[in-house]
Amino acid sequence: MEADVPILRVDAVSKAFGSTQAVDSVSLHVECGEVFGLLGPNGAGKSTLLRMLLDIYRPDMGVVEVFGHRLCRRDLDSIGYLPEARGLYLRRTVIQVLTYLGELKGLDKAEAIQSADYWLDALGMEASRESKIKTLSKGNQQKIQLISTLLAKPKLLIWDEPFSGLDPVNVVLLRDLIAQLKSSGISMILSTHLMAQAEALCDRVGLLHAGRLIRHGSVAQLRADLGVDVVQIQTGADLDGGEQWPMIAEVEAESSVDGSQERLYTVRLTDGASPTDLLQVLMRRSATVSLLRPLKPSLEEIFLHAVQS
Amino acid sequence: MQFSPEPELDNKLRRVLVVARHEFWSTVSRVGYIVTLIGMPIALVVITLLPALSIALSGGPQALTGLKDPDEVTVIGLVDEASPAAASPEAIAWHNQDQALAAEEKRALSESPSQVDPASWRDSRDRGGFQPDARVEIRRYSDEEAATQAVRTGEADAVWIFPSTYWRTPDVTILIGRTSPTKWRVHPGHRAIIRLARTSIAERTALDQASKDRLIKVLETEYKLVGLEGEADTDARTTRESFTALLMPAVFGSFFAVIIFVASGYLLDSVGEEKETRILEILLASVTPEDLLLGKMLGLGVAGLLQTLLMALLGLGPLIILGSLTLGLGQLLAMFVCAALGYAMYASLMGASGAIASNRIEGRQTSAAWTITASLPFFLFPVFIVEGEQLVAVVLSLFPLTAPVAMILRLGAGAVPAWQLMVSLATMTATAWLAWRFGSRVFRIAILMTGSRPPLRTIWSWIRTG
Repeated sequence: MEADVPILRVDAVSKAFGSTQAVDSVSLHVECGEVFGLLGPNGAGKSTLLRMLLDIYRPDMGVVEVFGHRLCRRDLDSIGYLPEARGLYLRRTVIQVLTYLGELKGLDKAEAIQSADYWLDALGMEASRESKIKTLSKGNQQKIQLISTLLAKPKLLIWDEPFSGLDPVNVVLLRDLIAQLKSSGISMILSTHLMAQAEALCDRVGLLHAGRLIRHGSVAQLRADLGVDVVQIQTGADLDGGEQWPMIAEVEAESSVDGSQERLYTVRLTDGASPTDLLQVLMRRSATVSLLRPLKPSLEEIFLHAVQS
Repeated sequence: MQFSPEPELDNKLRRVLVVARHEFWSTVSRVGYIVTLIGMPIALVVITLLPALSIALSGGPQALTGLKDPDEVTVIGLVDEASPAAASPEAIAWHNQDQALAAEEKRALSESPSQVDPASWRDSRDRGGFQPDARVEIRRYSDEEAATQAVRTGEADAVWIFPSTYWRTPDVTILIGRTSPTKWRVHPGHRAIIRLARTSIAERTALDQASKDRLIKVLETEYKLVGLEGEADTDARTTRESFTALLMPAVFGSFFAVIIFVASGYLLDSVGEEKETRILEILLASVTPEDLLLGKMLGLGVAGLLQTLLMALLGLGPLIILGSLTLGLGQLLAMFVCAALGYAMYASLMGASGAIASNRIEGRQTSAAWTITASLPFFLFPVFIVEGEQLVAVVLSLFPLTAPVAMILRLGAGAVPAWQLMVSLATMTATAWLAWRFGSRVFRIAILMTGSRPPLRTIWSWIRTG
C-alpha cells in the first residue's frame, strides 16, 4: 500500500432497509495513523455505516476501499471491530473465547493464545485468564471485548461506543491505550456520542445525522467553519443597552468583578459580527476593557448548529 | 509444479472448520449433552429390551434363549427332499459326531481336568460347531408326516423342511412345536443347519453367485415358520416373532432419525444463545453469515452424530441378541444418507428460524412447525411396521419434508423398492439444497435484527431478493 493512500475510503455509500434510508451517500476517508470520530445521535446511521465497512451489510450503492483496494473478506483479518451491541460466550473462559476469536481472525491457535496473554497482561486482566466470562464485571467483560479486537495486530480499529460501561479508572486506561495504539501507527474510527471524548481523542470527526454526513474535518476546522460567536468580556461599559450595541444578539451571563467597577459579560454576537467589531465600538466610546476572550464552541454546539442549519 | 489451494477458498474453509470445532466442543462439554449422551441410550436400551422381557415373561427364559440344560441334547429334525441334498448326510453325521466329542471333552474336563490333554482333542474335531451351553443333534426324517409326529411327541424341537424344488425355487419351512424356542435366529440348532446348508450351497459350482446369495438369504431370513396344526400358541409365537422382526429394525432406524432433531435442535440453541449474548456482530466481523451457519451445521452435526451413534450402538446389542436385526450394510448406508440429508435440510431451516427469533424460547416456538413436520412419520409409526406396502408410508417417504424420517423407518421395517428410494433421495437432496440457499439468505439478513419477529411477507421478500 502506498504511503499517501488512505487506509479507508468510503465513496458515496448508501443503504436502505425497506423505505428507511439508513445511510445516504456518505463519503469519507481515514488516513494512516489517524483517529477519526464518527459522531451522531441514536438512529443517525452510525452502526449501519460501520457494518458496511466490515462487509456485514453490503451497500446498495457506493464503494468501500481499505488498504488501497476494494474491501474483500480477507481484509477483515486486519480490521478489529468492537460493535455497540456486544457480548461474549458467558459460559466459556476468557482464554477460550479469545482463542476462538483470534482463530477467526486468521491466527493459528498458538498465536491466538500468545496474543491473548500479551493483551490480558497489558490491560491487567491476566488473573482472569481462566475465569468464566459470566463471573467478570461488566467493565472487565468490556476489556475482554476490546482485547478481542487487538489480537490479530489490526491496521484499522473500529470501535463503536468504546467508553460505555467503563468506570473512570478504565476510561483513563482506555484513553491511554488509544494514544498508545495511535502512536504505533494504527488507524482508528471511534463512534461515540460523547463529544468531549471525541474532541480530546480524534484528529478529525464526521458528524452523521439522519444517514447523511453533515460535517467532517478536524475539530479546529469545524470551529473555524462555524465561526466564533460567543465572547467573554470584562468592561466598564453597560452592554445591556439594547440598540446601542447592534453587534450583540444576546447577553448570556453577567456578573460583577470584585474590587472593580467593571462587569464580566458573556455575549453572543449577531451573525457576521466579530469580536474585533465589538472591541472597536468599545474603544470609540472610551470604555475600559480589561478582558476580551472568544469562547470556542464545543463539539456539541458545532453538532447542534450543524443539525439546525 | 506444486498445487496450492485457491487462497480465498482455503481461508473460507479454515474459518468454517474453526467455527465447526468451536461449536462441537461447546456442545459436547455441556452438562445437558453429557446427561443426554448417557441417559438416552439407557432409556433406549430399556425400551428395546421390553419386547424381549415380554417374551421371556410369557414363555420363560428357556423360551427366549431356546437353550436346554447343557447336558441335554437339542434335536433338530431335517426333511431333505432336495437333490442333491441341502445338507449332505456325511456332513450331518460329522456334525453329530463332533457334538458328541465336544460333550465328551466337556465332561472329561469337568471331572478330571489334569488328565485331559487338549491337544489330543484338537485334531479330532471341529471346534467351530461346539456350543458349550448346548448340544445339538441333527436327525433326518423321511418325510413331513414323520417330522410332524416327531415334533408333536417332543422327540424333535423343530424340523427343517427342504422341498424337492429347493435348488430351483428356494422355499424353506421350519416346523415348530409347543416347546420350540422362540428366538430362532440365535438358536444353536438353527445356526447349525444354516452352517451345513451354506456348505452345500458353496459346493454347488454350477450355481451363479446371485442364486447362491438368494439361497443364503432364504436360509437366514426368509424361511417360513409353521406351527403344528390346531396349536394356537405356536401361531401366536410366530406372529410375535414376525412383529418383533419388523418393529426392532424400525426402532433401530429411528436412532438415525433422531440425529435430525437432536443436531438441528443444538443449532437452534446455538444461534439463540449468540443472539441473546450479542456476540454475533463480533463474529460477523470475521466470518460471513453463510460460513458461520455452515460451520455450525458441521460441528453440531458431528456432535449429534456422536450421540446418535452411541445410541445406535447400544441399541444394536439387544437387537443382535434378540436376533431381530436383519438390516444389511446397504440399508444402514441408505439410512445414514437419509439422516444426513434430513439434517442438512432441517438445520438450514432451524438456523433461519433461530435468526428470525430474538431469543432461544422464541426460536423454539418459531421452529416448532419444522419439528412437527419432520416428526410426522413417528406419529404414524404403525403404518411403517406392518407387512406390505402402505400408501401413507410411501407418500410420506416421497414428500421431501417428511421423507428423511419416513424413509428411514421404511428401510428399517423392510425392503423399499429401488425407484422409491431413488426418488426420495433426489427430492431430499433438492430440498436440502433449496433449504440451505433460502435459509442462509434469511440467516444473513435476520441475524443482526432485534425486536419483534418480522412478518412472513418480509421473510418471503428476503428469500426472493437474497
